[in-house]
Amino acid sequence: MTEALAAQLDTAGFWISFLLALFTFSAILRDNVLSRLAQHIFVGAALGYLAVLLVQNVLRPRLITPLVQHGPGNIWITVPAVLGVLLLLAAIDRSIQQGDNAERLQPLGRRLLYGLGMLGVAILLGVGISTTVLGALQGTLAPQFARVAQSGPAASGLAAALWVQIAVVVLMLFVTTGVLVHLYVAPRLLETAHPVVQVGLRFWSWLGKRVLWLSAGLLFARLILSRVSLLGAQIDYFAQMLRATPLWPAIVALRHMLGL
Amino acid sequence: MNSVIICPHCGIRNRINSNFCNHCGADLRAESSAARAAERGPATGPDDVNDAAAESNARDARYFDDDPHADAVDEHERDVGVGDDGADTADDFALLAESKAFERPALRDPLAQLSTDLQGLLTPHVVSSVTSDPAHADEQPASVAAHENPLAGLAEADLHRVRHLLGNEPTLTNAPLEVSAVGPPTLRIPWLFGLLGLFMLLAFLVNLPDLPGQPPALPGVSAAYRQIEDLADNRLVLVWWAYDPATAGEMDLIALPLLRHLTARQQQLFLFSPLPTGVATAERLFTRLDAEINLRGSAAALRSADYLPGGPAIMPLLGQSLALAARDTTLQGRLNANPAASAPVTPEQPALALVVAAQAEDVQNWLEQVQPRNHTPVVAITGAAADPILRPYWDSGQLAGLVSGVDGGLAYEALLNNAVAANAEAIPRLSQLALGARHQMVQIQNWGHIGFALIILLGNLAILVHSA
Repeated sequence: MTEALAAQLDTAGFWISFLLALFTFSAILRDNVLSRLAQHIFVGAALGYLAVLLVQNVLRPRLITPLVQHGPGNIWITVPAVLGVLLLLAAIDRSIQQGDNAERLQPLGRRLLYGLGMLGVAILLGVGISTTVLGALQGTLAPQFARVAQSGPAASGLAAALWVQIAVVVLMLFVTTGVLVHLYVAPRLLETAHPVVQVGLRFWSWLGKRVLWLSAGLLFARLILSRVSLLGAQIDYFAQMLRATPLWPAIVALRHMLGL
Repeated sequence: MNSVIICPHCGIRNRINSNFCNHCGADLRAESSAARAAERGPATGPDDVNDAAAESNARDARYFDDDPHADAVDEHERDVGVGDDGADTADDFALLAESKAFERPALRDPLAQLSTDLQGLLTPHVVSSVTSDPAHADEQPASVAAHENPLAGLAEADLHRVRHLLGNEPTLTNAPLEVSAVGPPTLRIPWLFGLLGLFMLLAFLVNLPDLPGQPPALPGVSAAYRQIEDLADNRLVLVWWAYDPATAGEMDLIALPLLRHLTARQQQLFLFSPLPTGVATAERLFTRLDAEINLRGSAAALRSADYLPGGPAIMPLLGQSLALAARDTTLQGRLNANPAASAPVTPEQPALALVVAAQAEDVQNWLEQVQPRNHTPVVAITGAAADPILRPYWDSGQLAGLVSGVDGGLAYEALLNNAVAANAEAIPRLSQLALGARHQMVQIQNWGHIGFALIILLGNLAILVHSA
């Protein structure tokens, strides 16, 4: 490919992406054919790109090439390959037969295919869930709890420091359960509980509600910051496009005339 | 005037512009467009009036003809306070009748079924198409109908109640179906985006004054700077690249200064990405970095880039045996000891892990799956929205540095520029073009924030005035 052709393709890509961005933004006004067209193009292109990438970067180097070079002797490659093929066949068959209550109404061979196909899914799910749960325990829950337990103002003496840590842990549990009380317990018990318990529950729920407000406000503020950045980047992108059009000198002249 | 639309699936009230039901997620676009048409008022031309009247009559006729339970629906709507006036009730009937126009018998052609399933990725199926409809009941085999639709004999009103009950958590009290007799205020999205876009566009078209002050640097930025600054040259830095073009508008500005710093410190970056387009995004950013510092070849710091699918399940591999995950021979050479060689290579651990992610979950996954295994210091580069979730990890010491949001990126950029001023040869300067672009982005965002604050203020004022 010559450099001139590459440059022309770059320019064409720039304008096509500009148009597609405009189509997508037109959904703000109302749902329309152009925004749908852009969505379909994006999803189609993304799926196509993903398929090519999976073949080129995953299946070929990590599965097909080792199988061809070393044969089916390595079970760590052969077994996943067989499971993958079974899952693919089951998915294709299921997709074609969709809506026919396949588990109950289909012959034994097809049910066996589904069962074997699901074996790969079961392994994936089992590994995924156990990995996630163990990771959450060792990477989030334990260190975060330990950190909270160790926090608090510097206290002189071991006993004082211990009391501060206990107070912090109690406070953390109190606030956390306050949220739970507000969300789940209070609405159901407020009408039936003893008046003294009701007062306590109302305070607890009040505290939990404020904690939720604070958390939601903080999250929302940072989310706004993030989304305004994204919108700003899009406007900056449009601005760059505008600079490349014959409209830009007119805008500059207008700004100059208005003294802006 | 009808300011709400009734979900044909569960019967709950929804805002007039809703695309999907807030309660059950049913597709409401047909209902929403019909309600908007009704809200715009009667047609003006005589032909239009006749057409609209004929269509309305036909719809009502179809509804009443097709559904023998219309009276029950009427009764139900009155019970829940929907049909407060005649217009609303008539509209609701029309909306229900329109929803039935979307109903279709099950597709039997495999290819047609497959294409419909693919289409479902973009356009969710109309949920009401699986409701019981006597008009289509005879098109299904009896056995299938008995298995799939045990509620076939129920009236529409009872179906709404059943769906509502099944879609909710059980409550101890017999709560009413509706929580409010008045519809929620209309959210005028185009106006909001228009105002916000206008403010940000003004910052581009007009030279608005710079806002005073600098964005505050949240804790974690200077620590991230020290982590990179203190690295010896030519060390192995592992990069987990978890953002793609969807969030590149924000993330690029945050990641650029850190990559510029790493490049200046001559580190060797080995990149893995869990996202299909992550590698291409990273390579594009390195190319941009080349242009910004007027130095061809900084992209060479990126020694390898691999797409690594599998999500959190594959991540422990990066912590346990990076060599197994790596396809790049350079990286494998640095990671594997070779005792048979005359000069054995010492296996090398990454000196630093850089997690570049728009979402907090990706950083959390790294801290949960990889960091406990390889104990490599982690610097996180994230979007602003991820900061509150990741801040506790910084406080607990699990993160060695945290740079979040464009404000964080700018604070890092300021640290770099200070270093440039002190020792110009160590870190390449940004080109004037890049400096101008940064300044303009900051302007656009600052004025966008002001626009957003004004929108919130005006919205609250409007509600106060309305309430008064």
